[in-house]
Order: sequence, then structure tokens, then C-alpha cells
Amino acid sequence: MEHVTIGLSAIITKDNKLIKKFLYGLIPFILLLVGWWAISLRLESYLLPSPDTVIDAFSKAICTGELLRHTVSSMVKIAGGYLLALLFAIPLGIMIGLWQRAHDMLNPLVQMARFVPSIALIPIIVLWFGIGYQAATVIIFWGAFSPVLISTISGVEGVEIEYVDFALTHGAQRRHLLTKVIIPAALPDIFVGMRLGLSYAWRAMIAAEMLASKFGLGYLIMDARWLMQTERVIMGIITIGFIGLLLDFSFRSAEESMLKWRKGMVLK
Amino acid sequence: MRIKNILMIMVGLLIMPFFVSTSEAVERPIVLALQNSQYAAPIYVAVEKGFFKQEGVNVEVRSFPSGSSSAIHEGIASGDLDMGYVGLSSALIAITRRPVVIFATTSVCEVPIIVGLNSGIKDISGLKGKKIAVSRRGTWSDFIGRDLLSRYNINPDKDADMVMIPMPERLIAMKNGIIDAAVVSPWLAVKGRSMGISKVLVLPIEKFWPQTPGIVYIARNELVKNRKYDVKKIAQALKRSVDYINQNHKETAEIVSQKIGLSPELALEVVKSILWFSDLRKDKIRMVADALYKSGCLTKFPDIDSGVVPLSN
Repeated sequence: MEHVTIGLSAIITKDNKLIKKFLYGLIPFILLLVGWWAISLRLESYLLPSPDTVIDAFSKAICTGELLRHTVSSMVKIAGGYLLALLFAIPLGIMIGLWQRAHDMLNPLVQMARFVPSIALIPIIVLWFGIGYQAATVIIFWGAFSPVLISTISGVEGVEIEYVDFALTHGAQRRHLLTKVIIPAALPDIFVGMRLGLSYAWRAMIAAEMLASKFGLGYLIMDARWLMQTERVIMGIITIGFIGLLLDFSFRSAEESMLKWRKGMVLK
Repeated sequence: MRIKNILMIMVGLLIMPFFVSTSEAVERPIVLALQNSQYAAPIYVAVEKGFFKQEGVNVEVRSFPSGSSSAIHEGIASGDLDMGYVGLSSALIAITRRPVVIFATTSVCEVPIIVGLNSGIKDISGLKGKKIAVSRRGTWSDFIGRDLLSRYNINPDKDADMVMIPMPERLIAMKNGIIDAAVVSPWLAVKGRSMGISKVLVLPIEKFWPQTPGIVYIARNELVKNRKYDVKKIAQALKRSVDYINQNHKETAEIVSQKIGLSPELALEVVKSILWFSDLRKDKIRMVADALYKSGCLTKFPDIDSGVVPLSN
């Protein structure tokens, strides 16, 4: 009985912590909502619709399936382009990080490319690939590629030499160094790059959808803009932000799970 | 004492703009937005020939790239701009959602439908199943494109693929086979023909919406109320421009060619191809509003009587 009580107390205490964390995170949103409502009372509705007008827009978009349709379209686009970016950027980043010649050859190009935003490439990409999923995939790929690549290079280059020496002196074969020492040690940086890449890819996709697409959350916002439906514009913005939050949360959970070994070794 | 002096100077500097701006507000120029295109010809002419000055109105013209109707609507809504010209469909949407009125027109807004030279499309029925580039929902080109297809029993959402491609990229997209047809502006139709990429399939305004104001001028209600005579003078100046254009195609083409980077010959062709008039016909506008409402672009029917206020008569 005692064990059960202690167990339950532990669960309740853990749940209390999560609940507290959730509530703290909710406070800024509540303040924002109250502020928005207060300001909307003083402004014309075409400048800032009230929260209830936006909620009304949400319910219409959900009931007609419009919001789901556009959200799914955006998610499908981002999945393809983002995974492709990881597939190329991580191995390339490892190669550049490990091999000096590759670094000397490719680094100038990498540094130049990373300053070119996806949005600048849209006119060219649309001409080459049309306006379907192919073009969106390329735009998203470009958006995610640089941050993942650069973080991977940085992670690999930052692996402490002591780890490598320790592994070698304890009998590790050279071929195991990559998979058992270098990649695991570089993973935290790679994950940072992957998270950044995801947010850049998401933004690139929204921009692409605004300019040349028939579906997606970016298209939804531009459509609402043209029809001067500010409430739908705000609805689109909130949806984008919310999905971004969910994606980030999923990412962090996966990161925590894969980097369990860091627990107790770092501040957070 | 020194700190006190510094503080007084700072307070003086802070309140000075309020006095300056107050006095400027009385003679503040009216900010008129234009989109750099053939349809801005009346404004180009009015500036070049001094019609605004002759009418006694102080106008500051601000240029935007062609296709900037959204930016102009938003500029007017925020107060950065006082007035501007936009397509009729977006103007009708605006009068239902924002405190603006339509006060003048200068032309139809012809939107030629072009097809690739080797597309094999001979008439409008040939557009069935094809990819047609238009602008966004609610724009004039989208409205006319859909209206045209519907008249030939082609459902634009089911029997054709209406794709949004920015206007400047439509010719290259056609050349690369990405699209089969496009709804374009007159200058782009002329350019497409001169580049050997496209040919005009139909001029839908001439055929189905004759004498319909397509390019209209909108202004904030508040401006029309507080500075009605200035707005009226601007409308009068624009009417004079329209009369000038109709009598002086060649001179107008020279002005337009300098402004939008077309050769004088192509500019002349474009200027001649547009029907310029200043009669803001409410009956025609009502017909367009009806079609827009039925298509779902308008969530409520606009009050044409209060939203359309002809000031050039």
C-alpha cells in the first residue's frame, strides 16, 4: 500500500510539473488574446478583426474542410523537400567536416549559397519546374539544406579529439570511429541544424505557396488577402504558427529520446 | 541649469513635428498610387501635360510595379495612400469590406486570352482540359477567365486547370510548355506575339463586357468627404487625360513607352488597343458585381449607389 502511495505521489508530482509547465506556457497566449481583443475594440475590423471573428473564420474553414485541405497540402510539400535536404546535407556535411580537401573545395560555394534565400530562387524554380509539387520540393530543399549542412559540418569539426584518441586507445577500429564516436558526438549540432532547417523550410514553403501555388497555407493567406478577408489572413497565420509549434515539439521529443546520453552532462 | 536647457530643447524638438505637420495637413498633397503599366497612361499624361496643376490640385504620384493592387488597397486602408487605380473586381470587393468609394474610371481592362503559337488551340472550346494561367481569385483576370469558360460550358474548376502564375512569368511558362493558355495584360499579349511565343485567342472584354469600366479609381470615404473638391479636380484631370489620349495616340505612346520600357511602336499598338473612356456606368458595374457575387468572391452584394460616386461629370 505504501509503495502504491509513493508511486502515485510520484506520478501526481510529475503530472503537476507538466501541468505547471503547460500553464506557464499558456500565460503569454492569454495575455496576447486579451490585448488583441482590447485593441480590436478600438480599430476598424478590416485593420484588426476581433478574436471572435477569427474564431468564426476558423469554424467555417474547418467545417468546409478548407483548412484541412490546405494544411495537408503544406505538410506533404514540406515532408518531401525536407527529407531530401537531410538525405543530402548530412552525409555531405560529414564529408566536408572530416575531409580537408572537400572542405577547401566546397566551403566557398556553401558559404555563398547559404546567403541566397529560397524566395529569391522562386522565379527561376517556377520556370524550370513549373508550379506543382516539384517546384515546392526544390524550394523547401533549398531552404532546409544550408542550415543542416552547416550545423553538420560544425558538429563534426567540433568533435573533441580526446574522444577519438580514447576510442582508438581502447581498441576501436577506424571504421567504427565514424558510426560510434564522430556521428554520436556531432548529433547535438546536427539536431540543431535539423530544427533550424525545418523552420527555414517551413518559411520557404509558405513564401512559395504565396507566389505560385493553388493549395497550401501560404496560398490560403494570399487568397484571403486578395479577397480582403483579414480574419482569414489571421486564421492562416495562427495555423502556420500552431503547426510550427507542433512540429518543433515533436522534434524536441525525438531529440530528447535519441540524445538520452546527454542527460546530466549538459545544463538542460 | 544645463540639464534643464537640454531637456527643454529635447521637449521642443519632440513637439515641433506636431506644429509642422498640422500646418502641412492643410496643403498636404493628395497621394495617388499608380501601377506601372499601360493603364497608368492617363496619370502619366496628366503629369506630363500638367492637367493636375491646371485643375489646381496638388498631387503626389507614387509608383508601384504592375500587379500591385493588393499593396495599393492596403496602402489606402492604412492611410499611407489616398487613392489609386485598381481593377474593377478588387474595387468591388474593397467597397464591401473597407470604407472606400469608386470615383472615376479611365478605361476598360482588356485581358487578352493568349495561347501558344503551336498549341493547336483554335477557339475557346479548345481550352477544355488545358492549363490556363490567371491571377489570384478575385482579380479581374481570374474573374474574366472564369466567366469566359463558363459561357462556353467549361467548368473552370473541373474542366480546366486554372493556375496562378505571376504575370511577368506567363510568357516563359508558355514557351516552356508549363501552361497552354494565359489571361494577360495587353502589353504582354503584344510582347508575346512579337517574341513569336503566343497569339491572341480572344479579347473577352470587347466580346462580352463592352463599355465596362475595368480600371477604376478608388479613394477613402473620409478623403472624398473632407476634400471632395480636390478629388473632383483629380477626376476632371483624368477625364482630360482620357480625351487627350483618344485624340493623340502617338504622343501618348511616346510617354507610355518611356515609362514602362516598351518600344514606341509596341506602345502605340497597346494604346490603340485599349478603349479609353471616363463614363463610370453603374449599370455595367452592377452586372460585374452580380457575377462576382454569384462566383463567391463577394460575400455580400456591394451597395453600388453609395460605393460608386462618379466625380468626373
